Formats: sequence, structure tokens, C-alpha cells
Amino acid sequence: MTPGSALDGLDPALTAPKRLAAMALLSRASGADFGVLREHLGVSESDLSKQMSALMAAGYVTARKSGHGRGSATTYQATRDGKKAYSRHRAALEAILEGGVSPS
Amino acid sequence: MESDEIRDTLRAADRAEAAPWTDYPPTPRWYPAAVGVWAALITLALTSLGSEIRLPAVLALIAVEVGFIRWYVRYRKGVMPTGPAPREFRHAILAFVGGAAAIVLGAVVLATQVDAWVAAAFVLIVVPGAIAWYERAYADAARRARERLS
Repeated sequence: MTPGSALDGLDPALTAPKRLAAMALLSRASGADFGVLREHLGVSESDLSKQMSALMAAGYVTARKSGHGRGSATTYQATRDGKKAYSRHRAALEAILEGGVSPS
Repeated sequence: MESDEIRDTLRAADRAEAAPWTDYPPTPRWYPAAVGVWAALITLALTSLGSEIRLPAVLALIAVEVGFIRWYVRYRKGVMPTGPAPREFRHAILAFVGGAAAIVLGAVVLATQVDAWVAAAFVLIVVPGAIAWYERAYADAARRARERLS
């Protein structure tokens, strides 16, 4: 990947580090509950909701709710497109690092 | 985005990719013994039961296993690792697969050459020890992976 094409691989939906970390976890798991993601990313509930909404809007994540009331849980899963986008974005970051190109 | 920032972002991504393998709740203490009993029962069901009750017995044991897996996924809060494991886990996983194959082979030899009850007793004794070893090897691999990625 050339530095120029590396920049093309960057995905605007994944430039936020928290969203990238969420996609990284979900790309290597069958899914993850809201609480697991919140704990791993070290973010507030409202922040995580915002980040996951952005990923869902991009079509990279789906959400499934189970249970009712206090026992309810929301489980997120990465879509095939989401996993591909994550791999592309990650490869682009690595290429930029190797090529010494600044994306900003 | 500066190079240091990209490095930090990739490092955080590495930690997140490894998290389904390295961050998990403690395995219940009853798990090795329960797997041993289940394995011994399915050994008996497959080797000593009459054909008319063999299938229902095996299906019932499979249903128990499915129920356990469903509970375990909830226990792990929906996080079951997929894809390649971090390199620290490879030895434990290969040993697990090899050990499982050796135990199955041993059980088949005992059941066909000696007695089904001897095969079940072998499984009942060996499986909990093997599972307990794997749990320790897995925990050690998780610790080393967490240290490398910290």
C-alpha cells in the first residue's frame, strides 16, 4: 500500500479512537454486551451510546436487546462490512506509520 | 494525526482485539468435574446402552451441553472469542486439541478392547485433570498477552 492509497483506506467512521477500539474488540468476538464495551473503553454510558450509534449508522454494527427492565442487555455484533472496514482502516494506519505520511 | 498518536491508536486496537481472549470472568470451580461427568456419561451412552435408548440419551446429553454453552455465553456477557488467538495462547490450544484427541482415542480403545465402564472411568478421571491444566495454561497465556499489550 503506497502512502497515497493508505490515506484512501482511512474510514471517517473509525477515526475516533474509541470507535476504532470498539470495532477492534467486536471484530474478534461473537459479540459484546454494552457493559463490556463500556468497561473496556473506559467511557460513560452516554458516550458509548453515541459511539455505537455512529457505528450502527455506518452499517458496521448491529444491536440486539434481550430481557426486560433491570435484567435487560444490549449486545452488539460487528457486521461483515464493519469487519472489512476495520481491517482496511487498520492497514491504512499501519501503512501511514511505515510511510511516514501525516493524514492530518 | 502524529506518528505517536497512530502508534497509541494501534496499540489500543491490539489490546481491544485481544480482549475477548484475555479478559474473561473466572471459570466456575465445578467446571472441570462437570465436564468429566458429562464426558463419562456420553462415553457410556455411546458404548454401553442399547440401540433403543442410545439416541435419546445422546440427544439429552447434547441438550445439556447446548444449555451449558448458552449459559456460558451469558456468563461471559456475550463475548466469545473468534478469529486467531494472540500468539501466547497457541501452545495451550494445540495441547488442548492434542490432549482431547488422545483422550478420545484412549476411550475408544478401552471401550472396544476392555469394557465400556472402564472407558467411562478413564474419562471421568482424566478429563477433569486435563481441563484443570488447560484452565491454568489459558490463564497464564492471558496474563502474558495482557503484559505484552499493556
